[in-house]
Amino acid sequence: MKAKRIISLLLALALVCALFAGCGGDGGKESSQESSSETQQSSETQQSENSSDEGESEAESTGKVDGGGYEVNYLYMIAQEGPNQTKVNEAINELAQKELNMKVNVIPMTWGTYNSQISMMLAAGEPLDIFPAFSGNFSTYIESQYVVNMADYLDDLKDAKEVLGVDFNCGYIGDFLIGLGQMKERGYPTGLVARKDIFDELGYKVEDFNVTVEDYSSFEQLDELFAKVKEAHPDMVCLDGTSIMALQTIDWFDNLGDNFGVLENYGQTTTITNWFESEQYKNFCEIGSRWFKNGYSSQDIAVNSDSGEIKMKAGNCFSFITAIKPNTDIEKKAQTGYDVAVIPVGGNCSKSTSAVTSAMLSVANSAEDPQKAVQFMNWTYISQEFNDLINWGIEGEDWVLTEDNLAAYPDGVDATSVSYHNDMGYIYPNQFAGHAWEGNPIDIWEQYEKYNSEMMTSKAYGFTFDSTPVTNEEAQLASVYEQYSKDLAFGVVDIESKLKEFNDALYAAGLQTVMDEKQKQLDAWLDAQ
Amino acid sequence: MEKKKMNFARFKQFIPLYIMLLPGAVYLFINNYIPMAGIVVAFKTYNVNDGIFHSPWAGLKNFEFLFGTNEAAVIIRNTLLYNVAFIIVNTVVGIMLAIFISDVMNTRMKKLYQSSILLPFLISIVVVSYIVFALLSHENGMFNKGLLPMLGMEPVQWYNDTTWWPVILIVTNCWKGVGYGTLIYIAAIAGIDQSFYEAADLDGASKWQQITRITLPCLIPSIITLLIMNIGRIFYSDFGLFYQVPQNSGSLYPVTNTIDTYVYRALMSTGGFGRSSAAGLLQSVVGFTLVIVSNMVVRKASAENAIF
Repeated sequence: MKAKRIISLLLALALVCALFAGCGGDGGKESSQESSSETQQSSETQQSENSSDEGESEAESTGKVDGGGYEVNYLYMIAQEGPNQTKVNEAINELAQKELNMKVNVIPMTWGTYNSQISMMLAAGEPLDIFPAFSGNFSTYIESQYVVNMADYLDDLKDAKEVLGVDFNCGYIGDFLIGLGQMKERGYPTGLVARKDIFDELGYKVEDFNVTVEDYSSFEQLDELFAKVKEAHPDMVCLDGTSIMALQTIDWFDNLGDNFGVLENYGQTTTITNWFESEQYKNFCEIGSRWFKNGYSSQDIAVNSDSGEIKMKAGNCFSFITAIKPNTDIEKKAQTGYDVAVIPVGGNCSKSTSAVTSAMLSVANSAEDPQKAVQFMNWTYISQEFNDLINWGIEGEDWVLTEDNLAAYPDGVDATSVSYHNDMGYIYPNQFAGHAWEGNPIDIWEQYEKYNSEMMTSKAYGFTFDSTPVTNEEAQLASVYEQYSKDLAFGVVDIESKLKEFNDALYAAGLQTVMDEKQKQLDAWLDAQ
Repeated sequence: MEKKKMNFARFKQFIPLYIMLLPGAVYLFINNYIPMAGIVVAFKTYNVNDGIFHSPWAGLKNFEFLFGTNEAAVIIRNTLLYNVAFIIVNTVVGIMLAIFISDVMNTRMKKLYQSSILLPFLISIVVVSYIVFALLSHENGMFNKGLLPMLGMEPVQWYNDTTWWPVILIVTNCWKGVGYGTLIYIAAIAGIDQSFYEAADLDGASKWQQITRITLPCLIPSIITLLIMNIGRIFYSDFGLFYQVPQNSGSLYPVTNTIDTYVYRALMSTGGFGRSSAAGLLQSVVGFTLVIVSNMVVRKASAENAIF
């Protein structure tokens, strides 16, 4: 009886403790990185010398260095596992050996694998040199010392700096350069992506629409469109998906990293305010509510977690709202199988730090020689072959060059039979260095550059909020935002009363503290400019 | 002296059994006891360079976010009340089903019933959430488009109306989880000496009397074991049930937010090993205390039924 009791006690203990399995880790890792405070000065001076640097760097633009056989562990995102991955790995290796005398251990990951593995990889200090990091994690990564301060290696980043131009500086959080952004669109205006067949059938043209936030009654043009669709196709859902104006929070203002305390009016102010109390937010919620009540948006829209692309592909969805860019129509056709019409909603958008830093390529702290890793990264921003390889695969097998200098499937190969194909230029260093895919305009990269250069720029462009002092508040705010944002944005609840409840809950969770901290950091940053 | 000798003789007799125990015990020690040192993470500001033991201390700062909000009371209330309801409903329904199934004479049908009750237990909660969605969807749901109009009732905005969710969650959890307990109770009923029932039959006891006087008393040890094990997990919640099944709908948070979903939502954006360990530590400390207390209560009431 006694033995039984002891064993049961042990078992009970074991059950209770099972939680802690996996908490252990390597505690003895030697500190290999200098403390960031020592390097503050050097990075500051570098930052101020930006303009003068650009002239000098033109002398050597090949990015070639002697890597001395260093092995880079390069983690990058892929759309899915393809049979040609091994060949691509070998080709990357060969290329790097030839140009840099470096070996590359390629670590391709799909989004799902990345999400489940990256935090453990970093926490356990697994071999990793370069990886994509996402803005929500920056303060944790810095606090936990997962990433290297790249400001220590500015000399090795000259080419990347030239490619990125002024956007290079967005990676600074205080004096800490967390990573480099990708070459892609720098702003995310909102648009309505609609099925072109029905759109045409009703006799509409994209030019007919002028939906702008200057005049919220202009949104009634969309009401009219939805009403006509409903009349012609009573069973069709006019609007579905996971987004709507009030959720496109990167568009209407500079969100300074999160949505709690923002610079309204596309960042054309320097006073931090709470967007959720603004007239604009209320207007958007009311429009959402109108569409919901009139049966234009799906009755499940606030619950549904499938993207608009999936819904449209399924065949019973007329339109969805998303962020648009110059070649949205081509991208959405590939994803939905339908020709689409893209109607800009709201009209404007601005370039803000968070648009550039949403994903950054960073150097992990477990890199054996961070300098070599940085040199490799620098090279990835200028190598055409590298950018084509990771995006399109092996030339001749997975893609060929057309007469227009665009990439396309070789004869006899299509989207279903290709052995390697990612089309994820937005997460690779520099898609502009590589080739664009067939179907895009020949001058697509120039279009992108024009688009980016014509964009309004937020007054806080280049400033990144360091949320470390307010992590507890941020955690609570995130939870409150989750609770109210979707219901309000899609208008499935009573706007008037819920909006008040939402704001009360935000302030109770410490919104004012976060806003004050943001204003303090922003003022300091503005003074330093 | 005499007694000691006997103990040793008994020990010798069981040596093979102890040897068989050894690998398991070593496994438990390595896998479950050594990592317990990692509990300190809950009190630290973790960084990878200094490692677990050399990171700076944070005191109780990591626990603040759990109690800092006025939501804390709601979250703790939800977690506790749902678990109490789950324990009661699943035990009662489980015993009922076990008694019914045990009385089925046809062995093939018995197997069929047994398996079909266990089946939902093996289904992934994500699939369950879509089954529930198929019933409750506002656009195409079976309830709003089929059942309710047939009964002449107004459609309900299920995913925005908190009224029904305590019931929906308890029913879903019961449907999904009851099979496991039922299986254990069926095994326990099979172990009851048949001669009790024969004697009761001879004395003219009704079926109901047989259940209340023979079956239930014989099941009490199993019930208590399962109960105490469940109480140990009372501060935990089935994440999938509270996150996936309500489709993460914001208006339902007041009745679906539990400790696990709160921690997930709060730390999704900011991460942080310290804070998630703090939440885990709190849950296990509460669970551990409750197991000890409930066992003590059971031991006071009837010592032979206590687990330890």
